[in-house]
Amino acid sequence: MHVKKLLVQLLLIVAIAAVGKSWFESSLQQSYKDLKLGGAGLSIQLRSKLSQKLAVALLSGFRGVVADFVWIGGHQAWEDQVWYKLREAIELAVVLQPHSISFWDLGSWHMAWNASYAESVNTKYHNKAVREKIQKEWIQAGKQFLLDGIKNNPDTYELYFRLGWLIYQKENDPLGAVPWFEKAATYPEAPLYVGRMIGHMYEKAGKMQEAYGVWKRLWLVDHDQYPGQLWQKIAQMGGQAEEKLNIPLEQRVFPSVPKSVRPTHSQ
Amino acid sequence: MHAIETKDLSKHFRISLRRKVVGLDRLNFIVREGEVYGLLGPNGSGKSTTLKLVLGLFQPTEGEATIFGRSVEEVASRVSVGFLPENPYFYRYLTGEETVRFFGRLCGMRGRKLEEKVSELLNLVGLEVHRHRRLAGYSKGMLQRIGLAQALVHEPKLMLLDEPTAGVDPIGSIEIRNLIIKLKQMGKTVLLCSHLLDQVQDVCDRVGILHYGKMILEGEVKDLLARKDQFQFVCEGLNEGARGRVRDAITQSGAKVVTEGNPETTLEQLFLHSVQQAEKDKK
Amino acid sequence: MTEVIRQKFFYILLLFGIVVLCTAIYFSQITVSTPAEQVKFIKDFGLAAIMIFASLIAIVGTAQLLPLELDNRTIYPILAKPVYRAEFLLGKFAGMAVLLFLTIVLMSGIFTGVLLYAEHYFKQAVVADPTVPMDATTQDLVSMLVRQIHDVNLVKAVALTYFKVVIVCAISLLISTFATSVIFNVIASFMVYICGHLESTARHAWVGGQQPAWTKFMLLIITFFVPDLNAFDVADAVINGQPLPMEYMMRTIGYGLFYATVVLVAAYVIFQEKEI
Repeated sequence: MHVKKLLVQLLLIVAIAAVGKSWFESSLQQSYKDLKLGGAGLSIQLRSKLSQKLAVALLSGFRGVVADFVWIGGHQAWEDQVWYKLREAIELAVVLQPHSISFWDLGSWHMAWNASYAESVNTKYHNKAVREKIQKEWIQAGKQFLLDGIKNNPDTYELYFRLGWLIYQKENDPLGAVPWFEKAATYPEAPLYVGRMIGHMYEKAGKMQEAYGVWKRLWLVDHDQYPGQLWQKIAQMGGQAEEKLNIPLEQRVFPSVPKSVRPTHSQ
Repeated sequence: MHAIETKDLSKHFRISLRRKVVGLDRLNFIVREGEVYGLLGPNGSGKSTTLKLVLGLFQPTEGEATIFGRSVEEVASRVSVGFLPENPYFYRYLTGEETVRFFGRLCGMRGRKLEEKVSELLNLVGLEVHRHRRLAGYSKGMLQRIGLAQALVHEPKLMLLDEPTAGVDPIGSIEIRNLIIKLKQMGKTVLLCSHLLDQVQDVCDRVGILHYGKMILEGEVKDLLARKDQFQFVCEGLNEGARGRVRDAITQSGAKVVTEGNPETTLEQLFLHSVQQAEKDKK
Repeated sequence: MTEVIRQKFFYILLLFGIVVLCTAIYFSQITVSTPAEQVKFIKDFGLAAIMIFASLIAIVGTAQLLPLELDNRTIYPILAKPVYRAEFLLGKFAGMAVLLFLTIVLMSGIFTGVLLYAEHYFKQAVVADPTVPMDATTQDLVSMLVRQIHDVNLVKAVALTYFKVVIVCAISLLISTFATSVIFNVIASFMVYICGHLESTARHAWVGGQQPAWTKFMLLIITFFVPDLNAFDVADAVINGQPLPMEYMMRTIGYGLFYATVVLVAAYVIFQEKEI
């Protein structure tokens, strides 16, 4: 009698729990997806890349710590200059924590700068052409890595900035870097130097008119709203651009450039 | 209204899918208000089962029980019950004072009234000196006394004592027995379970004897114990000649002398006498 | 609460938790290079330490509550008083919940101290390093680090960790109403904890996948009975600077409270019929 009563009560509780649990979980699942929380779920492929201890830690909800230890392994590989291991670790770390900007940022730096330079001077490759080819491959790997990072994290400026810097420094393409710096600068949390980089890139590409446009745009805002901005530097760059472009005096917006920095006829 | 009343109270324990053990078999008994009732029986006879059913710790398989007219299944029936378990265990990390206070709070007591009650009871059971000591350092007798204190904290009308003198030394036993008598004088009802029969004999008004879950004998102690077919005199200063004349008088009346000789004291009485004498001599 | 506090295991676990928190800085320095990575490491390590030690205290502490009462028979004089079994059970749970709250607050305080020490350390290191120019870029980087450290969203991660361990505590209490062995309870609670992190995966597999009947049955068991503990793991998101709206917090906390309530009701139903 008591056992029957107990079973009926427990069944009722399970029924109510199932309904309530389903309702909560389906709405939480949607929020989880919308907010892009979490990384890749545990899979055989992921398990094969992790040690036993890390797999258990992952199962216990210590995703961040597991990713950190994987990253530490990558750091060690960098110090040992074992580049394929480094790449594996970086790629695994971003699988575990796809929204960790520092993993994508530093990972691309390791690939496109450290690995590419190390391979370019690696005497294991006797042929210079081979060294250059491998160097380019690492740069491309770093670039693709950043593009993947941007896909996972479209709402922060860092990765756009890093991509622009990679294209400028490693592909010697300042004009190619401009769209990425422009994109980075649209984010309110982007530092002020990001906006200035656009002007610098146009100048390096020889596009003075476009560079002047950038300096003018940066100058013609309420200076009090941007106390950290390097107004003197902008004034200098803008003034120089006005000189180079021979902008009529009445149309100039920057304070006059000192004689010592004015370009001469011979320049 | 009786303090405790049971009607066909039964408890079966299922030990496997097919087998069950009968703990209590259709028990009918009452405990009148104001009396001391001894529930006796060998180990496994159903004494503790009866107590647990009355306290609501077990659900009866059949039948019912009431405390002062209230069904034992109601939690409120335990407002008027104080329980001293066998080999009482309390939280060893609490002190004596904290223990009594804890149980007082469980019964809804608070504030000054509770504090006064705690002090009063610790004095009553003789543990005032040890009130700040953790129970882990208490002896068995001290634990028993704390058990009594917590059972009395909420001034219950009914006391259930399960083997109150088990494992306690003779002096402690005497103190507990005196306490039971005092409880009766205070108008409380006491249901006492024990298998130490000589200790029960001195305090109980009525007893019931359980065996294999059934009540096999019940009644007033003095009625049950009296040998109605025999009579005894205990005399002092009866010389050998007078003894012979008494024997003759008995034989002539048609009766028979069953035994004669010096009556024995009990070992307990001897122990108490020796200890008390030694203490007197020490002073 | 008093009972658990006076047990040695509680102090040992708490001490370990504090030690782990304090060593987070040390580990970060010997293993990763940039300050940003070090701060991330400290935060990951610190939040993980809070989670694991709070969970251990919840599981081990709760698993012992009822069995000890029954084995020591301290439960008899309590239930012999006019105390409802529901009050007794809820009292045990509430005591544990308060203890877990205080433990997490204490560990969070130490964690905050560790983070503030890290901030002081990094600022000193930047000032002392002659190779680092004190220009706008450096200042921006330092500001970013300070923002990373003074991240109020960490409180959200800790809050959800608390509700997660409260669920674990309720589950352990439920198991103790019918299990007689403490070790069984600890193992079972730990297994539910692990399965809780797989519940969302199991749910997707049960809804969508083509599995054999036996597998589907096991997935159903996990989906219906095990809580989705992953929903409470927002440490990654918080550390990576992802926004965590209050609405998600409230819904997750609501879920935690609902689940804990259901589990406690089930525990009460079983305990009510239990022969003491």
